[in-house]
Amino acid sequence: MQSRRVMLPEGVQDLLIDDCIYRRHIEDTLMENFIKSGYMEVSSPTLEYYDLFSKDYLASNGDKMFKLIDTNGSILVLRPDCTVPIVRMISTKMKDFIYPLKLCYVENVFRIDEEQAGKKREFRQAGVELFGVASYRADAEVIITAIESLKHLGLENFQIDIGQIKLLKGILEPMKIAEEEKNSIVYHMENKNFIALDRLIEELPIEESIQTILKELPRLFGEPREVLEQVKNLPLTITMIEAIEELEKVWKMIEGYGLGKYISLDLGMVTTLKYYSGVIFKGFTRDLGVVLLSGGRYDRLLEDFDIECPATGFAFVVNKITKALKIQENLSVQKKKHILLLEEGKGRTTAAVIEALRKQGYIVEVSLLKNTKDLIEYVQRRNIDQVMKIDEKGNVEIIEDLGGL
Amino acid sequence: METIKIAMTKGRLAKYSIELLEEIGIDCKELKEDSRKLVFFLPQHNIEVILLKGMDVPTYVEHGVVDMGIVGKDVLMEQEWQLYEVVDLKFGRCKFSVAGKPVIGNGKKHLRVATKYPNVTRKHFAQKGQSVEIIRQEGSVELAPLMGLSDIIVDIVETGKTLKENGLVVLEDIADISARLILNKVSYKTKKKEITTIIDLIEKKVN
Repeated sequence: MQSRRVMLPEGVQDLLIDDCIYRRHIEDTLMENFIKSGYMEVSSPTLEYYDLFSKDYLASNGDKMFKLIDTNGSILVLRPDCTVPIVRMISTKMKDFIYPLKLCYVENVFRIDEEQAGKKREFRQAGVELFGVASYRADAEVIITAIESLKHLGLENFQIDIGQIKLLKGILEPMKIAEEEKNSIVYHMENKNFIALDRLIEELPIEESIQTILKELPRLFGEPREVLEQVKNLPLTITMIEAIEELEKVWKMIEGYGLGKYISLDLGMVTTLKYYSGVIFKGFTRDLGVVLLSGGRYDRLLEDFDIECPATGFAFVVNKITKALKIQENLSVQKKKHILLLEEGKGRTTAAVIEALRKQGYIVEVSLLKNTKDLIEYVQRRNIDQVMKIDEKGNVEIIEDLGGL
Repeated sequence: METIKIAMTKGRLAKYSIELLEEIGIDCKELKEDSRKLVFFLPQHNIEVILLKGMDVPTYVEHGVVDMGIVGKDVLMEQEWQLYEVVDLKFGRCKFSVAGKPVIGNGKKHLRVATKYPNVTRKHFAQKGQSVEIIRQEGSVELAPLMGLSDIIVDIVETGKTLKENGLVVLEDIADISARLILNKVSYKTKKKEITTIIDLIEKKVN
């Protein structure tokens, strides 16, 4: 039991002073950027009903949710995802809002991963959701928002990798093979497990042209121009060509904004979340091998809530972005001038002086220490920039040498 | 050029891995010197090699602190990892097998299985629709049926010599195992040129 007083549960963490300064800086920058792009902040509760989530969602993620039992016996979960609750919010409360509806959030999400090895089970996501626009322009808009946000944070060497889930879905849906085999194809595709994928595809009763496409898709990634050129050599169907054209339009629009250098394509990109239905994307930097953001189009998710509404969005993983910025040494939060006030005067004059100084943007604290030795140590350890003394008449004097007190 | 970081599995697999790297033209002289060092930098190729225990290789790759790794399929099967498994290197070949005494009581009581690989074992028997009790071991799994701790074992079998010496036989094969080249999902995108060059050379060599 002793260890439970010392250790934390797996996958959660305390944020000490500097961590909080960084987190606030990063989240404020991201949210400011979202809001300046026309997104409006919403917040959903930490607890939701387990039954809010569809069967498909629960099949792949149900085991990963933290569950509680409500006093009336219903199952509650800690928010495992920000998108589904926001969709619930729209379909039950904001249906008549003017579209396009642009929302943003920063929330904690909770997920149980079976094997931890240092992975977080509670983490912060900051993201946007854009509802009501089916056109490729919405996909490009959210990706551009992501790029601009990362630029504002000062992140370097980052790249947004874009895929199109319609390609694989278009191939697998009409295919007459067992659901399990389809899942295996998706799984191997996701892990770029060329060995197992090739082996599996050759065993299955699939047309040769489709076999070629399935084998090639996970290998088609990288520079957009090259990828698009290569994919056009494949025996594509009309639906596939349309899906690729859609992707191409998204890329062209981003390029038109002068942000083409941040984009790469991956035609074999798949996600485990089944609600994605079109262009999907992930962001990362070459300085840290983890995904910093992910998102995509999820038109069909809203059908679960009986409304028809196209939608797309993405979420940043705040602690991964913090880590990447730290590695790049691009994480510096400007420190405000910190003043320690030694007070001898009347309370009211002191209050006026403090207010005036704080208005100038300084951090002002009234000293609670009397002993000079303690005072000197406090000033040193807290990196206090200036010590001021206020006398009975309300005159303020800057003290250069504490030893002289 | 970007530095590529490679994690290798200490021991037998590392020996084959070094041979493979040499065959594709990477000078690994430094790695072959007998030392306790675990990190090696090969400046002329801009490659860093680190040596780890099997299970740690995919952990390092998954967290993105190294770009690629060489590890046995057994490790990849025992746990779900978020990484790319791109080449079957075809060395370090062996099998996951179920083994036991030649005669086991069939269906009269529930089976106890000793293994270092509880997840592989669970999955295998679940697929067969058979409920078993798994007893996790750290080493010398062959002892368990001899001492009466378990009825059968699930383990890696290379030649079958150890089994034979302990009076056990292979009852069933579960899967073929060999060393695999694994990649961090992000590195493959951000260092595509360097990594693709290495993969292509390796692929040519092993096929």
